[in-house]
Amino acid sequence: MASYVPPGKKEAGLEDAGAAAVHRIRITLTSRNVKNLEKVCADLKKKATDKKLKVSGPVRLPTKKLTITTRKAPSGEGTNTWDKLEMRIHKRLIDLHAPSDVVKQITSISIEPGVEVDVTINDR
Amino acid sequence: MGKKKPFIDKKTAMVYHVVRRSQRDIGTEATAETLTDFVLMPSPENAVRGRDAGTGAGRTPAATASSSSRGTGGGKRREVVDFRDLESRIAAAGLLDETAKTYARYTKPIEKSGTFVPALSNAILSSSTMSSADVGALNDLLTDTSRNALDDALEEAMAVREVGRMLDSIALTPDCMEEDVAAALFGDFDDGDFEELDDDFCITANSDVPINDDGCGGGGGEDGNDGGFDFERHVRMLMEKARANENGGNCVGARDLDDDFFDGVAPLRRRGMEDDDEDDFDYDRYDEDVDEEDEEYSLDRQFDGASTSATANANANNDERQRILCQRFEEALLEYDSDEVGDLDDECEDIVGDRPLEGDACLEAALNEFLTEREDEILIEGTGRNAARRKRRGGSSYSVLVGKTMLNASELNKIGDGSDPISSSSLLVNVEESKRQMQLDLAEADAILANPEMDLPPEEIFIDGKSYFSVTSRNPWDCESILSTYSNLDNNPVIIGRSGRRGRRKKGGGNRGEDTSNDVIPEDKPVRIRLSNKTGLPLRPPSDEGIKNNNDNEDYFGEGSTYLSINRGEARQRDESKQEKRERKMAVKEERRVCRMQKKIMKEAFSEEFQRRGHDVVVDPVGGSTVFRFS
Repeated sequence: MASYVPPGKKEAGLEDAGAAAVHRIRITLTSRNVKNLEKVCADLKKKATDKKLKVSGPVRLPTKKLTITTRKAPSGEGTNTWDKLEMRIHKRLIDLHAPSDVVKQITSISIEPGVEVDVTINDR
Repeated sequence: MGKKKPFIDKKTAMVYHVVRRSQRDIGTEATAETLTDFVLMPSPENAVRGRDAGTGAGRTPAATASSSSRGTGGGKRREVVDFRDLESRIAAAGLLDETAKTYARYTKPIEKSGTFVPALSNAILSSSTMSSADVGALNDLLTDTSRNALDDALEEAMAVREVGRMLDSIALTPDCMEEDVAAALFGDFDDGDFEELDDDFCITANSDVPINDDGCGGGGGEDGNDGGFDFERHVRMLMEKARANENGGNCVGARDLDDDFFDGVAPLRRRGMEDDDEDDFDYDRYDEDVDEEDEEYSLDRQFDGASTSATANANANNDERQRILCQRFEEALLEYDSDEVGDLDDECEDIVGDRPLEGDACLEAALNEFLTEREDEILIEGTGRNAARRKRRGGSSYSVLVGKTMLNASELNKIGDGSDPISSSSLLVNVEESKRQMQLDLAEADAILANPEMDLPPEEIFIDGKSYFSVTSRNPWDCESILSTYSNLDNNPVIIGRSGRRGRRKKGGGNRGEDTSNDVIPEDKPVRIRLSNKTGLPLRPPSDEGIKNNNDNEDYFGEGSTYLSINRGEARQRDESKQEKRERKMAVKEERRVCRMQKKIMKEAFSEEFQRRGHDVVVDPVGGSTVFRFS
């Protein structure tokens, strides 16, 4: 016999199912600005620990340095002086074991400008 | 231990980017306030990854579920279905963003009848894992031709929601403004209430329309010009009005005095003209009337006949005011009347002195000098305005030749004052003489002028044409010094023709005129040395060499010309032997050598002379006396 399941209940059930299903979530934070990046990492970690989630990180990957060395002079005349321009990219990883709804709440945190956040969910 | 299982399986993982929410994404009414700043946007690589995952070894359970439905379908459908698989998986994960489904809010409302054609074909829809009920509903929605459902949704989406005002607007009611403004804005007006104004004031003013002044009488008779505006009458009226107002108010001001100032002055327009009309103006009599008008224009105050009672009153007041004014003036003067200011005549007797000015010789001399100078100026330049302009700032003034000296006009009269007793006596005599001489000359001139038929007196020959040694007397009336500083003392122009004449004379071959150069000069007679006009040096006497040479050469070879400067026109003979040629060449070379030596000697002589004389004199060969020039 089919029982009438009110839609709200159904969603709740789904949510529970979703909530129960803990996914492995990897949050990748990339930025050129170390300070902002560290700030966002700290925020995330703090929130995760508040929610009693299993957090590991932040894993600091080696900084990628993109350097460009160019002649200072626009023409070839003059002493050979060179400009060294570089761009540093910092990358952090934070791993979580959390249900997906929690992941949605990532959007609620204030992300500093210049910090790129990627969320990778591994479906089991 | 083997390879640890990676935390994330990249092949099957779903990647989301955290991006800022679009500004256009305002959500539904319910969720508007709770929207977050960031949104999880699924990465486009997820589809690729899913495809790879589908084809690859690793298959997720979700994928296998969908693959079963793919049995009959072709390869093409796989891609389409994969998307739906992903969607379902996302939905299962609870990450499905519902906003993507409600595209209706972003679309243009359908004006005419139109339907949305689904991207997927019905076959796919029917074979999807969606429940049949959902499929049916979706179909109905899509194929529904009536606009009702979408229409409502669209309308609801596009409906402009009015937001309540924060402040009440200030209404424009007649209560808050003044009466006349309120009446102007809100009042009822009939069309006939307002006068139609023509904006042609300038035209009206320029036209000759007689303007009726509402002023006092007495001005009608004077206004002879019917078409014109009597300016002074108008001004008078204004002044009377003002005075009347003031008299009523009884205030004494400086303005009243000004008004009375113009009372006695002649009117601007001539009184003679006032009686005539403009048309009858007599141009012939205009010149005759000039004298009469001049009298009117004099500064003597004439009483203007058009006086009114107001002016009579003003006159009475005027005296009173003047008395007050004088009183005030006296008081003001008293302020300055202190002991420390003013003459010391009465106080100190030590400094008081007597100096009669009438008999003062110095003063009189100065005065006389000034007067004579003025007379001279007038004599030279004349009276009038131009005198000041043409007055020369320096230069010579009128001077008289007294005896052998030039005296200035001022000096002449100074003699009489006895300034220098020694020279004055001699000068006096000369003055008398010169005066007498002048009078005689004048008398003679008059006589000559009186009798024009008389023969002119015979000319006296003062200059002998043969005398070459006469010293040219310096003309005391030489105007060189006055007119310019450029003098011809250093640049004496040669009379043209002199040098050429001699040559021509000789060329002619005849004994024309005087040619003493080649004549045999007897010993007892003195040799007359002839000077060259050009250089001033004596001409070389003709030598034996000169006689031998061509006579023409004598002239050309004169004073400064060298061997090389003239062309003798010698041609070599055609049939000359080598010896003759050599001789000729040697002769030429010899001549050149001689020339060179002569030139060198001359040069050295001149340089010696210049050095001896000094360089300053060389610059100015006049001989020491400097001729002033402009620098």
